[in-house]
Amino acid sequence: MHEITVPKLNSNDSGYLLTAWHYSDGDVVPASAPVVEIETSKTAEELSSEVGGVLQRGLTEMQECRPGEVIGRLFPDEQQRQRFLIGRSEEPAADLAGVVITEPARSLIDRYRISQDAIRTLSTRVIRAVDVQRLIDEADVGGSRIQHLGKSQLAVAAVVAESHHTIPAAYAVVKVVVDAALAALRGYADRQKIAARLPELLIRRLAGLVETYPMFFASAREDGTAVLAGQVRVGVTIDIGRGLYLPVIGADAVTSLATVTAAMAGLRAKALREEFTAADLTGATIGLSLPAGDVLLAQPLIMPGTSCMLALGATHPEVIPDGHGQPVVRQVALLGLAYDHRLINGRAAARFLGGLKAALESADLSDEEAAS
Amino acid sequence: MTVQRIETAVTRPADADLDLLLMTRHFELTLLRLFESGLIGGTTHTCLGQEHVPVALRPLIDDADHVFSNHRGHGHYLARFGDPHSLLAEIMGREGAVCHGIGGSQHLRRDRFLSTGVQGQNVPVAAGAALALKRREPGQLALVHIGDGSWGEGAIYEALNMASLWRLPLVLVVENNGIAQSTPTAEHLAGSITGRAHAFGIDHISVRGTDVTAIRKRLRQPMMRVRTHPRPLVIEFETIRLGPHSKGDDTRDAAVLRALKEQDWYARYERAYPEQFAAADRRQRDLAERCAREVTARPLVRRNEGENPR
Amino acid sequence: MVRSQRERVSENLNRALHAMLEKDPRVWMIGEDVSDPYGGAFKITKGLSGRFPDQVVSTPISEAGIVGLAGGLALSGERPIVEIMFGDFVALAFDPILNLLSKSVGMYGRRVPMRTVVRCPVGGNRGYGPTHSQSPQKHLIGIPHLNLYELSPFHDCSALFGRMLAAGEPAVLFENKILYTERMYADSTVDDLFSYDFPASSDGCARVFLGSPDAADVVVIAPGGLTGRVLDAARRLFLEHEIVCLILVPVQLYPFDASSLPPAIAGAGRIVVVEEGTAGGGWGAEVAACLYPRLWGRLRAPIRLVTSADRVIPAARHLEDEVLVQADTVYDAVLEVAGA
Repeated sequence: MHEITVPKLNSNDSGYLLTAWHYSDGDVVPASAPVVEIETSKTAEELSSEVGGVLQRGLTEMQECRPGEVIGRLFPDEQQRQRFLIGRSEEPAADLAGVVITEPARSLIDRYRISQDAIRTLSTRVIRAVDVQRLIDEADVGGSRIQHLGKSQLAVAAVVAESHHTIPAAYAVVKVVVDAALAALRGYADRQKIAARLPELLIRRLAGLVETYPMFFASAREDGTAVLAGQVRVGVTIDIGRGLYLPVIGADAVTSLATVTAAMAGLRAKALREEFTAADLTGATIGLSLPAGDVLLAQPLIMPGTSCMLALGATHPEVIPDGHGQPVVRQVALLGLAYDHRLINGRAAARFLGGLKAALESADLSDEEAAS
Repeated sequence: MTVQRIETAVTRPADADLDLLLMTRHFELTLLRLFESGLIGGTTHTCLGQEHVPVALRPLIDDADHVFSNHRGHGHYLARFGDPHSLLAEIMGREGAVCHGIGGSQHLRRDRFLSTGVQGQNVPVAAGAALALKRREPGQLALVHIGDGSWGEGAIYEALNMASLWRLPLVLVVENNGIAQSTPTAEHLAGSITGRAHAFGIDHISVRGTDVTAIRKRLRQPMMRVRTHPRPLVIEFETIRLGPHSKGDDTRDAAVLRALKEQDWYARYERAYPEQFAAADRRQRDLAERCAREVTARPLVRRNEGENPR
Repeated sequence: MVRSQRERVSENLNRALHAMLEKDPRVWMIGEDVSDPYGGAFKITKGLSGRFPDQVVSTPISEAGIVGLAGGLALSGERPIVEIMFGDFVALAFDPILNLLSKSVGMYGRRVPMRTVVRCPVGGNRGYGPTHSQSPQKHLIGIPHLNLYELSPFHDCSALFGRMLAAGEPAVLFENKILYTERMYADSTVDDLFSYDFPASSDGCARVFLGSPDAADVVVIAPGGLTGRVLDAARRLFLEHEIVCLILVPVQLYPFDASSLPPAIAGAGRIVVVEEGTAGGGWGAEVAACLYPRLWGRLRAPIRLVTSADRVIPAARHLEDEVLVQADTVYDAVLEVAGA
């Protein structure tokens, strides 16, 4: 990324006027092309950058600028510009246009992880430490504390509320015996050096069910019809402590266990760096909830626009009698399904879960290894 | 210094001229007496020996002309207004003072007459007034009195330069009395005043003697020309200073002073026209004495915030 | 924050001169190289000689002479405005200012109106060196009948010139050269933090405040030429330390009217006076002397004076920076006073 800085244009002026940009945000600016016009008290000067790139303007026209100030940025490609924009909006309070925040206030905001939305509630142009302290102190009103929700949690809240408001959900659970699958995955990992786990295997197995169970990859419409997606695009819950995200593993990533595993690793890395783009988060045709830790069973939400979401609980041991009445231990996991009862009935849900259970319990990964 | 010059013939003066000359002479002498007797404090500079300069010029200037005077300006004031009472009251700080006792001997202002106490300062000021006259009242002129000592001040040259460049109706009257306070002209002035005027392309007229009628006759045309064809003009009067610079600070030899006295207009007019002179001299001596008695009896001027605020 | 293109201070000044010469044929503009096409060393007199050939006089290099000349014009009822090319050279005109322009008002027993303005471009930070960068305000303080003003980005020059010429007393207008290319403030807004108003009248001091004009930790009194530097300091002091400065910018430096200052000055109890002149016997000392009797007992710290160093102003920019008052100098002083 290259920063467009204002050079010192003469010795008299302490500031200049940015009179015109020759390009807009997102435009590709060739190297050495005049990109912006700056007016001093004596002349108008055109600035060009020795480096070309995708422009993101920092100041608008008719704003004052000072020598040394960064007035715009040039990115190697559009993706990096988008990343910059997202990074900027995630930065605490950076997006509060027209609001001035003092450094003492900013350090409180950072320490208490106060969201921009909370800061906006102050409805003041200038924010001092005392204002932020008030936000913190307000939590103690009436003995109970008030926590302002962050931007991403508010987004989660909106989705969840819409889901519960619009989708009449039913729920079913089956038990999956995973000893064979775990053994197969270990063998696969040894040979392929790919650390695939049960969720990856589950996603991979979903690919084989889309034709048999189209209604589970569908969305209901108001007019009594359903749109069948005909494709597997799995929205997976990822929460590594920085908010809940539902990034999507696309149809092209479910063609093999290896591609699924790579896609999952990619999503986790993005979650860690908080680098999700809008494209990462849209277009799921089915959901998969992966409850954290030792949770055995969770009732997932159904994302608006889909007809169901699976939930794969923690693998845990179970003791059962063998054919001779002797106790044996096996590894099991509970596989839940929340589904839109308008499209799917219990019987169909049981069949779908049964099909998926069978696909998981099958220990054969030879196709996967042949493919890779 | 040349002191042996004797004028053989002196034109009979008009009574008014003689009265004005003698009014000034007796005013200055009275002033020195009042100082000696402690009735006046501070300082003053008398124009003894130079009274004929403003008297000769008097009819050549009118009320709409500006006159800028200097520290030695009592004669200039009396020639213009013929009013010794207001001047003496000013010097004594008594009621009727022309400037309410603030200006004193050296800072007088009345109508278009103004004096200041800083050497040479009045020449740029006169140039400014001449510029205004040229623009607003064509035909009028600004006349400024300076001495030979004032030529040491740089401001004069700045003003002469502008006056010549801009063709201002400015008459610079130099009263060259041969001495600047205690320093003879030869010791403070290199070259000549003529040369300095000519350096700026300014005409220079040298005036010798004390015959007011003759001097006036000679200056009438050049002064008129300043009005009709505005250009600065330097008129240099070769005069004498009979009295001290201020009071009691004359370090010149008695012989020199005696020789100077031979050139005094007073002795000449007295010898040439004794009867006319005696009558006028008596009148003006009486006037000065009465004036002194009357003004001395007046109350002191009161402080007036409105006239000298803050 | 988007602003419409505001007038530069030099444009405002030039416009005021045009207005003065147009409104009154007795107003003159006199100075060295003031005629077109040159229009003055700082182009402030641009366009005047073309429009008003009879009122504009381009003079020889004679500061004493032209100020004396202006005195003669003023005594004749004219209203001359004199430009001294660099304020440093006002030293050459000290006699006519001290002994003629100002004296004439009061020394002839009756008040003599002397409607004259002597314009002095002053100040440094432009690398002009020791004799072209000074702020000689202090040398003209305390002369009866001489009023001192300073150009400011808040005060409209047309109103200011109208006031100076109407006063009947000579005025010296100090114009910090750094201001010429700055823009005038308008619509009560300084920037995203600061607003301004005129608590007494539009020719009184401008009051620059953050939030409420009545609440400040420190009051900073500074003439117009320091506005930019003081604002920079005040901004940083707020953003970094939440120290709130109330900035007062008087347009008239002398006589300094302490009674016109807003009451907040007493409330703060901490006062910093800033000037670009060198240390010793300066304007700030005069302001402090006016304020002490009024605020005695209510001050929480001694009035702090900020001046340039007691040194010759070097030509090399990096050395000049060290001698002249900068935003950092103000910042440090206020921080110190705020902590006192």
